[in-house]
Amino acid sequence: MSSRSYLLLLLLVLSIGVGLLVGAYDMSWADLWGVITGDADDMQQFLVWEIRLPRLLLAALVGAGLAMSGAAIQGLFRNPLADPTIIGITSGAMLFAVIALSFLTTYLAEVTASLLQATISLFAFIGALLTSWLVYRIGNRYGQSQVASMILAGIAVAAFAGALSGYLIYKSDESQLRDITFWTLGSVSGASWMQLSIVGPIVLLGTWLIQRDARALNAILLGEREAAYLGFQVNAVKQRIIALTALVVGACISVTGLIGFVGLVIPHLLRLAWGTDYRSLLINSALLGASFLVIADNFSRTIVAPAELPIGILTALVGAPFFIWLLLRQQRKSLFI
Amino acid sequence: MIRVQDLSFKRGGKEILSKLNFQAAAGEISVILGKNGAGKSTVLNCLCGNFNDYEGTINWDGQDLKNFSLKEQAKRRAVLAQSMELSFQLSVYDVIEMGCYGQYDRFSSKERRQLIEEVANQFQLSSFLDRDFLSLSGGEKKRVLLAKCLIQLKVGAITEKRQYLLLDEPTAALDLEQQNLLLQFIKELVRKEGLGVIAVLHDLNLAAQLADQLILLKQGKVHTCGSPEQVLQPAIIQDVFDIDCLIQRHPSLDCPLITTLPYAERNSTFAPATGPTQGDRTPLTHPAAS
Repeated sequence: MSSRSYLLLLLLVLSIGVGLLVGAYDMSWADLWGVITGDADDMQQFLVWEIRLPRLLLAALVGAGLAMSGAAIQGLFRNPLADPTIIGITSGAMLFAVIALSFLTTYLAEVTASLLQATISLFAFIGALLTSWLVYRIGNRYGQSQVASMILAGIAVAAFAGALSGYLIYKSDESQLRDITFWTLGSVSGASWMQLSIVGPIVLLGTWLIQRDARALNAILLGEREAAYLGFQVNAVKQRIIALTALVVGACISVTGLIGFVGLVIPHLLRLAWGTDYRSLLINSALLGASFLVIADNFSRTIVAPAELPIGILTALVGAPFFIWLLLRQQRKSLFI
Repeated sequence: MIRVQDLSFKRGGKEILSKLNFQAAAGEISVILGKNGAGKSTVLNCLCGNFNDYEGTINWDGQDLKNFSLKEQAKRRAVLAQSMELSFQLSVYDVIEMGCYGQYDRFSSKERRQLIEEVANQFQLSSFLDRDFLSLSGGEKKRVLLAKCLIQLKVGAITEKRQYLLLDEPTAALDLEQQNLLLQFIKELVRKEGLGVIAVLHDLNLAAQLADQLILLKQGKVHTCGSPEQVLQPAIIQDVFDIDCLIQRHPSLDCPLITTLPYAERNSTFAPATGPTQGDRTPLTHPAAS
């Protein structure tokens, strides 16, 4: 890791540290030290270990997963405006989450709320994997996946899944509608160590494996054939990246709901600052994405305290204007090149 | 030595190459010529490993090309492709460094930097290393990619002795100065590093200056193969390119000089009628006409 990566790691640790202190109940650094040394009351212990720490770690994992997957997909498709949505992950997760919310709420809510939560997550995860597999199969002709046909397949599959979700939303009652809306807004509240024990390994393993293809992604920037001339098995790389992205992003949004713009904003910010070299871009995206989502969550817990703003609102609020700025900047540049 | 034996290739039921035979030696420059659609790019694609569903054999220094993995091929040849697509900003240094990727772990980052600076110097690119690749001119981009190819061959040379450079219309869209510069560099590579070069070219005169061997393709077959002096003759060029030409000796270089004759002079029925705009023009007289 370069010194820049250590800088970002420091940022992440600091933002998690701050995150442990702020919220509906404010703590001081001294209180936090007390909690770490076991010298605090039960309420503070519980707040830090069972509520804030899992939540912040979940935000960090999800931010890392989304940002790194975004960077990888942009490189693979050689398109600066691509993100995992392009291979149908989000629409599929959404459809399956809506299916779970519409049909299973009444049965499962009677058992326990956490079982319902787990079922929604499982459904969303399956949906993400299924749609991205479908998009890959459609876009993959003659054993050679074509970037253009994959993007078109992604749009078509997303539109179809969106229509099905729309129908289910239309049929749903008031309370289901509210649940569905909140799911699409995204949130890391209610994080548990149980969730972390599932999402954590998937995200960490996935990001580690994606990082191993960093050089191939660099070579693919010059064109797929060019990468093959350098000795890379481009199709195998493509399959790996798409499968890993579907796994990582699917796992992330299945527990948090839709959190937009992280995968777009973070890699671009880093490209502008430090260049496109994927050997450092991927890991730095993961670290900055993690910090970004932790900081966004810190704001979401303090702006309207004691209530909470869904985190997806905040990321889109920051991400969308940045996206527009990026578009305008690219237009201006293409005028002058 | 690359031996192409009975190479045939079909796409969509149409035969693009039929029973092609030729050889290309290491340390020599072989240039493939022919009209559009004659199969030049297809031959090169087969040699590059892009198409694997050809018939016949490509014998690569004694082994069948199909036995080589992509990694093995990358050690034995580098390809200078025609298009240069890049959607993100990368520095020239980063692009040249990609040549090292095949043997990445064998070198420390310091060794890589040394190698890259050495090659950049050789191609007059030292002052470009920190620049954005996309901001370069067409000729500079080609030189950067050629430097990347040379690095790829240099790091591959750890295990492979004979190596080849495959060029797909390297001078297309370059101005005259850049064309000459690039060809000088390519000649130098053959002389100094002993590379074998197989190039697809369009310009007969550039081909005559560059090549040790010319391979003329017509409708997916080898029409003629030999030294520029043997191959570049009016009757052959008429047959392959459907154009009349005049062959002289180049006044300063030791190679043939080809001057093509306008279509109108060959077939008077296609000569433009003497209209009002052309009436007061002195008709051009070609040396061949006298």
